[in-house]
Amino acid sequence: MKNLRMKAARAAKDLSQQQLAELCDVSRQTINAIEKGDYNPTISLCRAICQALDKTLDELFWEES
Amino acid sequence: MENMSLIVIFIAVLLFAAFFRMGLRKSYTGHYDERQLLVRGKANQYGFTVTILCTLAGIFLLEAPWYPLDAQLTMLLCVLVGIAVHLVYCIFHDAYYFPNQKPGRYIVIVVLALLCNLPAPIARLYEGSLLDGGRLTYWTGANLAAAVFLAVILLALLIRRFTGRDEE
Repeated sequence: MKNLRMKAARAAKDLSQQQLAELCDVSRQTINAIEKGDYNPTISLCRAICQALDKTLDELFWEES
Repeated sequence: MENMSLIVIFIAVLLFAAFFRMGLRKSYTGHYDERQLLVRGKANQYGFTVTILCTLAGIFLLEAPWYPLDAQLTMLLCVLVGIAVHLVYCIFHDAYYFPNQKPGRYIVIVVLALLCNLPAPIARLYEGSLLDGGRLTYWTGANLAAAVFLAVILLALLIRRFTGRDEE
């Protein structure tokens, strides 16, 4: 499932995938895969993304069942 | 004597690769990210499986009278095919380069290595000595095998470079 909340948060901070990738020390393709829902990141990477986007884990990654 | 020179060349290449790697480490402290490590693990599995299957097929093929390669070249091909599977899988899943690494330098290295391997088989082809007793042997075909291997890797790198732009 696509992570549109992460994509929106990144766009709100006016960051490209490449810039977010550099902030999180991963490749641009990894950020792209997370946004497209092709890859489930570890909690460590989730935290790095949240810190880079000034969001909480719940805001970006928690899905109500 | 041939074996001795082969060992010397092997050690020289190993030392060159080690020094090259040390130089790279000093100039760039890169690492693969978590997704890339997963992809590379899968690529290792595929590469290993293909190498084993090719080796088994090679053992049977060597018995066939029509088979045009000698045993040493067949084993070299098995290894090269396995490595090619590993590398192509990594390249097409964006797990070949470190994050933020520029690919241009590596493409130049692959092109240079490819060019280094071309003169010998071309010269043998013109001399008519590419086949030895109707078979392509390790001594006459190893450079050709390496050139084909590098051409496959180069092609994969170029295809990925020009088709891999998937940002929204």
